[in-house]
Amino acid sequence: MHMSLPKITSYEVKTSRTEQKIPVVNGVHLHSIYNPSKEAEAIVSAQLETLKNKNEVLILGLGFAYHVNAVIDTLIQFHGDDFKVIVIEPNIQVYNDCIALNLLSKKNVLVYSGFNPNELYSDLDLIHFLLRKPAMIAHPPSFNLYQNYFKKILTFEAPQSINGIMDFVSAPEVKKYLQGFNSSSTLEEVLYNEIPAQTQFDPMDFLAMALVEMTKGSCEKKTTQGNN
Amino acid sequence: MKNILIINLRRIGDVYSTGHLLNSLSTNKENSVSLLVYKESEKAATNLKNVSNLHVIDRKEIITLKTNKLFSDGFSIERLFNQLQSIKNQKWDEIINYSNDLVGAYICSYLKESSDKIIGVHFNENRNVVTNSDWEILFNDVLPAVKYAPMHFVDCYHKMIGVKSNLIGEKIITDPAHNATVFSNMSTIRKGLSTAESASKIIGLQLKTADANKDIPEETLTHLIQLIRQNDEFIPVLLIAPTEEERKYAATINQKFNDELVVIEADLRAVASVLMNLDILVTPDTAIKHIADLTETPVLEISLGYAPFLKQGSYAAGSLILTDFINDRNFKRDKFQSSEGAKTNIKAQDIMSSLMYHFTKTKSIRPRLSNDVTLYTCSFDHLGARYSVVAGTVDAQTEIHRLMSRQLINVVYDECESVDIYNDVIDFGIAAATNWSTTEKTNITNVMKDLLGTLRSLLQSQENRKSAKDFVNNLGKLIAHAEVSSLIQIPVTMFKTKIESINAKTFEENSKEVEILLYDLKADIQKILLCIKKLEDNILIQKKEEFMNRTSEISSN
Repeated sequence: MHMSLPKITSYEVKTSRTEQKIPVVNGVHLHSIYNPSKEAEAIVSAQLETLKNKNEVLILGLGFAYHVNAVIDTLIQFHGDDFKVIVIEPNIQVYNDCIALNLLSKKNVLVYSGFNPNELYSDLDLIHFLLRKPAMIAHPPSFNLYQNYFKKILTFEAPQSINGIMDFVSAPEVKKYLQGFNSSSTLEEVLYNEIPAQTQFDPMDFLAMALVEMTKGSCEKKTTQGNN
Repeated sequence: MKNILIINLRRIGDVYSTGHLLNSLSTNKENSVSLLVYKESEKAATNLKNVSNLHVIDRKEIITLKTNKLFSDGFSIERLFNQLQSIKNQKWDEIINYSNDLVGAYICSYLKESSDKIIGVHFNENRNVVTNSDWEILFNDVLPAVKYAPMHFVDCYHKMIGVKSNLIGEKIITDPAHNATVFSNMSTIRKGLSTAESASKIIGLQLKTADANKDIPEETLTHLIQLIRQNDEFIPVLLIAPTEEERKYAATINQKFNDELVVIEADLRAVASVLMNLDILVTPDTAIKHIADLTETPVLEISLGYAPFLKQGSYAAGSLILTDFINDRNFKRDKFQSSEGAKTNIKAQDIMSSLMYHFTKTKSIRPRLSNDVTLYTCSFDHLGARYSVVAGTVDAQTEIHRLMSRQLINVVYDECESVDIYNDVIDFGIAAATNWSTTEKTNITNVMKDLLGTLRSLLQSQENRKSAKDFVNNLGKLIAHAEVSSLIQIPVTMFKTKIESINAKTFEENSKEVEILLYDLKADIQKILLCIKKLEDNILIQKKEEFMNRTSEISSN
């Protein structure tokens, strides 16, 4: 278990009055003990307008996926097969049981379970998904239970030093180029101070300068509250 | 097979204007031309014919990766690297920087090892600008510096690349289904709304641009529609893009006409089919104007705000450009506030008169226009698109200056003098032509004096370094002529750019290069003097002819 993942002191699976399985983590019921499906419908009905306009949704908290399945059903109504859902769930045990109990609709859905923020933001599939500015829905019981974990995800700041950046870069040519700079410098320092101060420039320097010029006027880092 | 890459990282209209160059390059069947554009212009690029492969940079994604703290900065540079990989891994015969901006220049420099030749701005390993020809300097340094651009951007690109302009041929891809539907709908409009016996003319009105400074004012537009509707032969149709803002604007205008107007909403792909079925398009400076040029739809461009029609105006023979008096215009974008509407003397009646002129066969009756409004027409000569006055307010000195600037380019850089230009200058009157040549000769004398002073002090400084200060002062005086609004501005600006890009390491090397450039400038000035001399010869001939005519009139009386 990663240090940044929430500590689980107790875990059990109960059955609701409607005979549906529900996980109880650290004494917190992640779904209604009376009717999980009805509760899920209520979560979705508050998001109908959003789901009509967006066909990509990020859900914070899987639980046993009643709300996820309700979101998927709604997306099918609005967008047919053209939709994608990503769920972030810190508790691997909950995820494993959800899958074992066959509770999650498999259609166009991807679950990131047990990932710490650094691992999440290194994943290119997730990054491309986030770049398309999906709608975001929090599963209230999961979000409250794993508040610190989700807060870290939403306020994550990617490492800025060249050394830290290396973990995120996979192209060997880019890695090799960045290794040529002081590992404690930030990429901003490299782009705006170190490269312009050079007297000789190789092709990769020109690529870096194209990046600076292309993103001019937007070089100040924005807030960390998502990318919407 | 010649593998060519054109980099155009500008806006949609500029991407469409690449269609002319693509068409000219396609004349050689051996050419395979690829295009690199930003993702936001991708739709426009896919509409262009003669593109073998389209490459895209997703700038917005790269900006998000770089600016959002959630994502590692490393992703932004890697993303750009990945998006250019397929280009970098190919072998190109030529890469053309059509963007003429820094991003394009850096990307060209990054791709230098993948290409035998880079055309347009790029850098060497010391980050000094590399230029391959005078045409590139003309494009990058002279055209932005002079108020009255002597040649169109599209033509300058052709010269830079060394490809002959081809005006004939299909330049844009249209959807046959769209074409059929639009043709059928337009036929219905022609038949249904007209009471005239002859076939009605459909006049398309482009309502909006991306910048309020270039928009036709609503009041003018409304009055114009009234005037068009008063004529049974004409039917106005409003053209809008599929956006809520444009729909609302069209609805506001339509309300004033009891919702009787035809509004055509079309995306970039469909609009080409619409334009092909119009009799004329009335438009400010928009991407739609560039599409109309590619579809060979007649255009009446209403050039407002900073729209630089002399270098980016409608590029089609017979197109008309209605503008405020060009002496009063400012073509610099930063002089305009984005929220300001257009301030113009152009009235609806001026646009209507220009439309009537367009539809007359003989073109013998010139439209009468408001004060400080001018109508130009586009024709083509050896150098490409040329805008000539049809009617309105004209300053003979400005028009002569424009014509002779063109002649200067013909003679100095293209080695192809146009005899017609001298006659066209004299058409503005012998007195005006004489006045212009006298002023220019004075300007040239001043430059020549400074040039010889610079040359003398340079030679002295080669023998005695103490004279270097005099040389620097003289050089400064000479270069200051690049700011003077005169014919001489062009060669001096050219000289200034060349001086600034000297890469010599020692004083001796430096002074040798400056000396060569000074002699080149002197040679160019002598060519200009020769042009002025020829103009004066023509003036003399004209004077003699006029004298003879007067004499024969007197004797016959």
